[in-house]
Amino acid sequence: MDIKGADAIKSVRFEGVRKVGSPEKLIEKYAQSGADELILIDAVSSLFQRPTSFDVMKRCLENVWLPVTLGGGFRSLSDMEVAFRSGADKVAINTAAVAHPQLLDDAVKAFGSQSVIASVVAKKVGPRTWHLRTDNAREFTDIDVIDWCQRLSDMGVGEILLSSVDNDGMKRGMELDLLRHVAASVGVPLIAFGGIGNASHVRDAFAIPGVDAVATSTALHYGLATIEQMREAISQ
Amino acid sequence: MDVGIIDYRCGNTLNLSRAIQALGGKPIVSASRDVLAKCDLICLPGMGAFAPAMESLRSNNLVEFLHDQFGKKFILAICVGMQLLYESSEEDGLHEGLALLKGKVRKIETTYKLPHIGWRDLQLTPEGNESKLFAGINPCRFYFSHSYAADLRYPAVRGANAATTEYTGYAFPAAVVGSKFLGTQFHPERSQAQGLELVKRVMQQKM
Repeated sequence: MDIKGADAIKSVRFEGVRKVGSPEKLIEKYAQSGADELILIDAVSSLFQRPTSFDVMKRCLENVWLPVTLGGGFRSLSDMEVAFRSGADKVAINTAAVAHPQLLDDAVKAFGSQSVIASVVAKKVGPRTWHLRTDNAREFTDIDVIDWCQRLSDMGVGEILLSSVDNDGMKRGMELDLLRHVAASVGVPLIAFGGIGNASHVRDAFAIPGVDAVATSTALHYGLATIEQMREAISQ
Repeated sequence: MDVGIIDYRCGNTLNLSRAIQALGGKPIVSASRDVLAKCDLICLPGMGAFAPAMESLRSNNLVEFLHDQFGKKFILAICVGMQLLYESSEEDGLHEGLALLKGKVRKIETTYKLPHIGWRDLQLTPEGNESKLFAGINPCRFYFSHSYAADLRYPAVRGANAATTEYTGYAFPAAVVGSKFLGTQFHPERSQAQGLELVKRVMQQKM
């Protein structure tokens, strides 16, 4: 779930943001409807280089009893400490990891690998090539996503959250080609994000060896599929 | 009820504190044996690595304290907290643990990925089925996040494995119980209603 100020928002291809409701209410709803984990990203922090709006997060998480990842705008270990003190179990880091790879290493040492998720936002640029985007997909880099994921995996992050720019919010299924290439090359759990529009899309993603979890926002925000339906689809 | 949560200074104790608070207890995060001695229940929380946590216990003179309290006051030990109960761990070299339980902590054997992260169903042992802590908990499914676990080949002494689970075919103890302790490799404080129910039952066991 992306959060901007006091609103939950949702983008399409990381652009054209729409408000989708109150984060508190949505968090409660998803926590009660069988989500395994919650990932909350402050969508603007990274862009404006200001710390995540932890107060909103903290209030939202008071009655949540499942693992929570916070992301968006971490610049230092002390930013991450604030996140942990706000109720996060894990932090997701993208932009800062590119600017200062050492920060990821330091975070793994300070908080343990299980608490550090590397967020990777991938934009297709060629038949088998994706480039990394940072700052909530607004900044272009020429870093090869597959190489970068391998490097992150070797650095000892606990998980990789892989997002597809092209499929985000499109509801047409996940970017399976991207998932296949990355899944084949990383040694840590891989969470796939971007594109789920119905329960069978979840099954398609899990059919790829090395995809360990999927994250979805659009399908839940707009009621296209329930978590229960997604679970059924996987178990078939 | 005062619930002492041992502060290793390298882990996040907020969510465990919140769970205890939600269940009507008063969480007290401390590394002082005097403070912890006055608590009704003592928790070894589950964040961080084995060696720094053990070092923190040593530097706060809590090793002897825990040996003294073990079997007297109820101890809830979560994740790396459970691992600390054993004789040693292979995480980042070989390190001595509290040795309150016989056994060793080893890296999960898998050709797949680590850490092992996710929800798993527990297989209760006969002891687990008989224990008041686990009987009837449904779903018996909890959240795990770890790369190391106690070695199932060492039979628990002074306690018994209450439940096992497996990751890619590698089985390990998910919970170990005794009359005055519960160790969980999973995180009850992050495991929805069933996790809170387990913590609640521990708090009711205190005396």
